[in-house]
Amino acid sequence: MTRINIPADLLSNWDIVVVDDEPDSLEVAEIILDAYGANVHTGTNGAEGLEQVRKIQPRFIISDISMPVMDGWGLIHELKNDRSLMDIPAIALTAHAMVGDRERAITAGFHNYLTKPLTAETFIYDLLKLLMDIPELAEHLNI
Amino acid sequence: MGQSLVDVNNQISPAASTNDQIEKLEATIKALQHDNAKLQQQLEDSTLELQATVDEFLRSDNERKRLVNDIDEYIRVDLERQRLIKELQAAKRLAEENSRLKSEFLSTMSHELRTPMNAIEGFTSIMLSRMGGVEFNEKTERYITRVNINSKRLLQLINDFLDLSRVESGRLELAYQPFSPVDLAKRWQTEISILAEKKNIDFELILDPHLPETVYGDEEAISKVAINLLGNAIKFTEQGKVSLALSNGGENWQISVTDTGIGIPPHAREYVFEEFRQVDQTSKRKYGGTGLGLAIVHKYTRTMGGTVTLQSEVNIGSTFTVTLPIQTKHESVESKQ
Ligand SMILES: Nc1ncnc2c1ncn2[C@@H]1O[C@H](COP(=O)(O)OP(=O)(O)O)[C@@H](O)[C@H]1O
Ligand SMILES: [Mg+2]
Repeated sequence: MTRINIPADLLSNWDIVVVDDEPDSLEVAEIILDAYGANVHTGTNGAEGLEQVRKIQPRFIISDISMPVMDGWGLIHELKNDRSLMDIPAIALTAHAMVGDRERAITAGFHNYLTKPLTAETFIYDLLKLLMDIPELAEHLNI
Repeated sequence: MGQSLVDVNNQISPAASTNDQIEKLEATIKALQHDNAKLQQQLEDSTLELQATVDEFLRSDNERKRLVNDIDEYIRVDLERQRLIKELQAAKRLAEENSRLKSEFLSTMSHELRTPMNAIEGFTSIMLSRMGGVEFNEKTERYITRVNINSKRLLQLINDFLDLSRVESGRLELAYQPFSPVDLAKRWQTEISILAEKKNIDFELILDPHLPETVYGDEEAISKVAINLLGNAIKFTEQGKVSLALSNGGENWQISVTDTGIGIPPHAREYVFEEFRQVDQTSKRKYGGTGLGLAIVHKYTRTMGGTVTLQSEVNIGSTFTVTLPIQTKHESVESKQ
């Protein structure tokens, strides 16, 4: 019911960086975003994510919070302290149980958060709701 | 004793007559005797006085000894107290460490259980949406649907179970923040009206105009309570209406969820709040679920210092009312576990 009005080219040719240490989770996000036309670039920790963000300059970033090497907090800190990256919206991925992480994510500089599991039924719908709040992205959405 | 005694040498003159002398001597002796008596008296007085002083001294010495004893006792008690404080501090540290380990265990467990479930749900949902160019026949679709539905059930169970363990182990850390109860209720409405629409049930939101604009509380914990009640209301109602009412009760605010569903018979009205309890076996067969929802509602509400009550009539409907204290500034609620 949630996919009804979302066109398949919603994110046509958008570069998006997704960061998660769980390969399955990363792949699920990749397949779904790809189904809506996006070019998905991945990283398996904050440091890899940061490298991708520097290279690609994506439209937006989706990042898991707890990861080895550099976690989501480390990543958002690096992004917000770099003039050339600070304006790229970042969305946190939080686990269901992480009471407090959500508020903390927004305080740390994430635009908003999405809760796992990411599913074909809800992910794009929830993401779209968040993207509509970001004027510079909302105007480029193919809807 | 300022008066001088008789001066013997000056009183007895060599030129005086014998009688005179005798008289004088007698007088002198008398005077001397008198003085002596006086002295005697004074001596006795002084002795008494001294005795009194000595007594007083002895008394105050006893007093002092008692004081010294008291002080010794006090020091002993103080040492004992310090020892007890140290013991209690050690016990507290141990308890804190235990609770930290428990909480770490819960969060690790939670992560380990959810990660594979998230993958199962993610991939089955992708297949069912035919994303990534997958193709399969009807039978396969039916099986994948079962896997998907069951993974959702298991994930729900895991989430409920972890929510419950968190509150039971005393690890429900309430994050008190100011929030608008009206905005929160509108968010629940968005979530629940989708479910209501699917079942063709009306959903109504009733807001008391006297609700405080902001209250302090843990939005997530309150939402957990409300969503569980609203979910049940929809689940156990086949037709009619589910309403959510927020009202101001002065010191408290109330969240009421009313439905026109199957109702709960009187004998079950207490035990439905216990873990894994449902009204009866048919409920499980017909509606599924595991019976953890109302246990979560009950425990979370109690941890927030509130109460939950139930009014119901079989085949007419049920009303669950959660009463929470209005907190206008940050104050911690004592957990009433
Ligand atoms: N709104 C309601 N109307 C009728 N029965 C209800 C309602 N809410 C709860 N119940 C009864 O209480 C039981 C326990 O509820 P809950 O703890 O949420 O478990 P579950 O929903 O998983 O069965 C339900 O199985 C049902 O029998
Ligand atoms: Mg329930």
